[in-house]
Amino acid sequence: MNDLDKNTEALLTGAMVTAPDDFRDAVMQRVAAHERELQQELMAIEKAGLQPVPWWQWMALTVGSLIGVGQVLRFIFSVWFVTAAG
Amino acid sequence: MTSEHSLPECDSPPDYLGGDPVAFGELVMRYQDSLFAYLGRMGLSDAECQELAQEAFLRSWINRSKYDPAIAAVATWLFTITRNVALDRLTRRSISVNEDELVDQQTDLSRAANPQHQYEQHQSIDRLRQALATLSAEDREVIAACYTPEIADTSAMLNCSEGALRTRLSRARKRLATAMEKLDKPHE
Repeated sequence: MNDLDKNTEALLTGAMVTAPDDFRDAVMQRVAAHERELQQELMAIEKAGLQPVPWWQWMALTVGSLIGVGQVLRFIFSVWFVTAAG
Repeated sequence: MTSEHSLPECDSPPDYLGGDPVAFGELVMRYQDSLFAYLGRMGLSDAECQELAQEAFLRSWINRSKYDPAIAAVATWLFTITRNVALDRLTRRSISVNEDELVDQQTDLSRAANPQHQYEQHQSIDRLRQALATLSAEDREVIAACYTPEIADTSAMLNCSEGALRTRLSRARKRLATAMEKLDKPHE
């Protein structure tokens, strides 16, 4: 036999599996959970964006910048000194 | 190939596109049985059908902003998502399913049904599922799509011409018939 019999045709045409009664609720629960998760992520991003930078970070940035500028000036001065000394 | 009792197609853009959960719930109610039937035709178990149908609906909710009513009908959009979810599952796991597991799982279902005709119906469905499970993902998707009347443009969904679709369906049906024969005569 190379083709499908009538019973198989009927099974394929009909529904071999049907949705359970509470399927819609299960989907809606997953949708609600997804929306909650999304909301929480957005709130976390917003919170992180609005939070002021702590003082010690500003302090570290300032001190670091001063040290960096000092190093550059020191290098320039040493080059000038060597050149001037002949 | 396709039955006459197909659902009327939604012409207007669905309300759930705007994020209305009530409208989405109505969409789920409208298409849940068709999606289950489609997944069943791919030879998937009841539990897998439920899991994948949920996943498909969830994806359609998450990606609702990507849906364009000018390109495809809602049904086509939903079935395309379902097809992708199912193919993803079939290709990720070994295509040759654990048949013993399948038989055990479905025998339990069969035993739960007391009337004789229901039992016989379950047996036939089990047999068909086992045969479908031996087919490749490509064969299963073409059978599932062609036997689902809600899919308006099957060839477009499967990215092939009408002629190629007919050939693919014919081959898939032959392979299914052979698989069912083998199940009937396992020692030959």
